[in-house]
Amino acid sequence: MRVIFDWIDRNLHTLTFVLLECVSFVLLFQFNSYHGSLWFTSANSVVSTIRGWEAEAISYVHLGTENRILTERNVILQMQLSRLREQLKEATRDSSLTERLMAERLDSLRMLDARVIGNSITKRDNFITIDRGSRDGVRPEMGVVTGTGVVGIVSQVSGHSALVIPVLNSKCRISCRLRGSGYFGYLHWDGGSPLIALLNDIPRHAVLKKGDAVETSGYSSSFPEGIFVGRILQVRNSSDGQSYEPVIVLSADLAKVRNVSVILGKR
Amino acid sequence: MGRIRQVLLVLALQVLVLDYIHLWGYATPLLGVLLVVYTPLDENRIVSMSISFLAGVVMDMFANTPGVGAAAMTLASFIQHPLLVMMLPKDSDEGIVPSLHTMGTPSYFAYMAIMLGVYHAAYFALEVFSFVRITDLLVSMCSSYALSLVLAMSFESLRFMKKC
Repeated sequence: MRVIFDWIDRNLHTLTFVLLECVSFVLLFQFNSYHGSLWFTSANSVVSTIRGWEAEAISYVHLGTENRILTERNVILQMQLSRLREQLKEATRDSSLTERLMAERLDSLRMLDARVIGNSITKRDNFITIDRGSRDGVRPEMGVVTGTGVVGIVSQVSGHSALVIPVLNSKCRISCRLRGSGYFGYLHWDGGSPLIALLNDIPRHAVLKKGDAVETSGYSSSFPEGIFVGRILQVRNSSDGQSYEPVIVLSADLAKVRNVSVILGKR
Repeated sequence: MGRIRQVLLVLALQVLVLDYIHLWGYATPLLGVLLVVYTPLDENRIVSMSISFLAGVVMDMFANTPGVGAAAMTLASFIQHPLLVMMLPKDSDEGIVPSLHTMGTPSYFAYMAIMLGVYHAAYFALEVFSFVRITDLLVSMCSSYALSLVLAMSFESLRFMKKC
């Protein structure tokens, strides 16, 4: 007995080392395998509070860029407005069915504005932290968009913050379709530039060309159909040659995203 | 008290400043391990390992890499004591705090290089799944290591100059 105690006494620091390493590995594999480790990510309340202060301080530096983007957006909207007015004048009092449906659909969504308080784009699996959580009505699996396009899907929520899996994460799969033809596939990212993603499983008989618009298909609960994702940069074959795998330029620049909207659901 | 303040300062430096540096998209200085490097020789090893582990957990929370920093920090802390004993002259003071001043440039540089090397190797080995290509990982590891070493030594010589 004494020998055992002596041995433990002599090797106590080694045992501590082994124990702490075991805890670390549990954290590592738990995070990679299932959604239950919220406490150890940047969505926990203390970390998100500190990140919130930081984001607030830094956001002043970016006001210029934000302003420019807002102005550009304004100009685009103005142009759209005038074009729509024109069309409305031309059309009879009864606008066409699809236009009415589209307007109703956009109108029927409940959106919640949120601020990005943590973001990364350089890793293989990037994450975004936002300053809205379960108390604001955010739930896992909700879609997140910005003024220019799709951002990602909410993964975990705490009281006043949430962890979003953006398009720039190997685990992110968003069902998308080609505007017009309606062929669908799923959007994924394989590292590299934060502006470039790939669209998988587009059938060989689909007709596609550079510049075609890609939008969400509405086949998942996260996003309604018709939200803009990006445009085709280059059409190429998938590695097994069974389908097309077009390269997509994402319309939302996730490296600069600061204000986003969470899609809460139908009104 | 001084030790706690030092730990908090190093942590704040890592999570609020250094985590945002990605030179050429690859090199990110990882200097959280400095709080292990500065551990006095006579500090209880179990206490210093626990401090390092907790600091690692905090760094992981901010960087969204649960377990990676904690495991690497614990490993660095585990080898710090025997390494320091090996590097110091036999007749050294018991409560010696490792620094350029107390160890002299060559052995302090070697000590720092080994500590940072072990930490970076462990950190990037555990991050292996977050890289697509193994060459990216190696480039990232080596450039981060070089950057961390340069920053750590410049920081140290600043402290040294102040003392003189």
